[in-house]
Amino acid sequence: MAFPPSDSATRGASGGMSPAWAPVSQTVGAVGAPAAGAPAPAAGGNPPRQSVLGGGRNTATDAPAPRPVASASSGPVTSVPGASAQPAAAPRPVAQPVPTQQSQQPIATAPGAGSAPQPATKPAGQPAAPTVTKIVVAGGFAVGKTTFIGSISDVDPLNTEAAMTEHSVGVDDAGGVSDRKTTTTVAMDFGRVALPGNLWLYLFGTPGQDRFLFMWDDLARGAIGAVVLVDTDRLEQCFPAIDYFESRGIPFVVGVNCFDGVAKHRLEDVREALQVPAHVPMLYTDARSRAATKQTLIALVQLAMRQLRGGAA
Amino acid sequence: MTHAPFGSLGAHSADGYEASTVRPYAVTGGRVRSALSDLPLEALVEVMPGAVNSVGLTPEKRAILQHAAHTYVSIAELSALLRLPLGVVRILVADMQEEGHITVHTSTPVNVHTGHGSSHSGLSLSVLESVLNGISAL
Repeated sequence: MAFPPSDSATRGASGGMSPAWAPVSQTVGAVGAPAAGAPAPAAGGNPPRQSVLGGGRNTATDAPAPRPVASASSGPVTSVPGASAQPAAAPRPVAQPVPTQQSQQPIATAPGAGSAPQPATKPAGQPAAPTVTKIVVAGGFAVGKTTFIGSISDVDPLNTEAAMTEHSVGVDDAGGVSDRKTTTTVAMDFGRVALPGNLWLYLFGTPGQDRFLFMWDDLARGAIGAVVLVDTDRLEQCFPAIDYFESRGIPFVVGVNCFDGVAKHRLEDVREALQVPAHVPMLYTDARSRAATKQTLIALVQLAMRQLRGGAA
Repeated sequence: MTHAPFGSLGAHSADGYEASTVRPYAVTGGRVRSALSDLPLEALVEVMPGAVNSVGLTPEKRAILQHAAHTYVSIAELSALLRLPLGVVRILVADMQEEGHITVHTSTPVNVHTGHGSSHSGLSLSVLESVLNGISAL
């Protein structure tokens, strides 16, 4: 194994280094605490998970709110989690009869079933379509992509299958036996989080195996950028992802996943081992921690903004 | 025969959506492309008024109408909910748009990815700022 360099174990982590957002608690919910200073946007902290079948419009953040886009430019940009950086331009939705409890109820397959203050049919003046953005979450097999997505998604991560069929015509047959399916489909997980200002953020996990790289164009098209998750025990697994985003000029950050809340290696050692250029942000993260996930995503969006400014200049 | 051509199909009879024994692209009439088949995965589907009551639609299209009837729902979500491959859902959605049953909302330009420069995403700074503030406030 090429990593860690033999001296880094002694030089580096005696007792383990603490990531910036440490201590990592075992309970994910508690880690989200730094946000306590900020007024909760959706009436009571983390929005409850809900079935996507119930429809996102039940959540508070989906209520028609004035889009803050125009005036947000004066707002705080370099905010960090915990800073009370609630953009003034994103007021709490008003048409909202406060229904934390109601929206918490598991909503069955039939939308509009019951309690929520949601009309059975769409009103004429229904909310405008959300602005949709997305971030790609890449990394090797079992590095924690789905956990990372799930730690922040409003809905439990969904799984979709892309059609290898398009690219493997002639392989399938009408009576296809089930053990062929692994060669004809490729699965990927994704999640969604509603943000103030009628904004939806999708998080798409890349299919784990390298041979599905062709799909990444689809995922990366129009994305804000990518998070490359790294498991320091299996560094080489993230090489394809780093190569991909680097070669295409797509903004990406490298998140070194700390599986037990303990960083085994110094970031500069990981950077050197991965040969990642200095301008690529690299940080510790913990896929299970909402706070750490947030911080990783923030680093990415900030990078994307820097690149956009730089490109425009 | 109840084999599940796409893996998890069998486990989801609770959806009321029966596992299909039909090859995936059979529901598109064998087409793997359509004029709009490069719709982004995150493109949102909105049902046009009255379309829910449309008759003569295939079960897959009816299912799309049902899932999208009360909320915006993305192509990726439809693919997951219907257990159909993304490419199939794309074609169905494009068809349904042409037929006037749905509207598709795309926030990002369809042809932005050049691989060069940093504005590849086509996103504006103000949108990124809103995302940043939104994530921070979560």
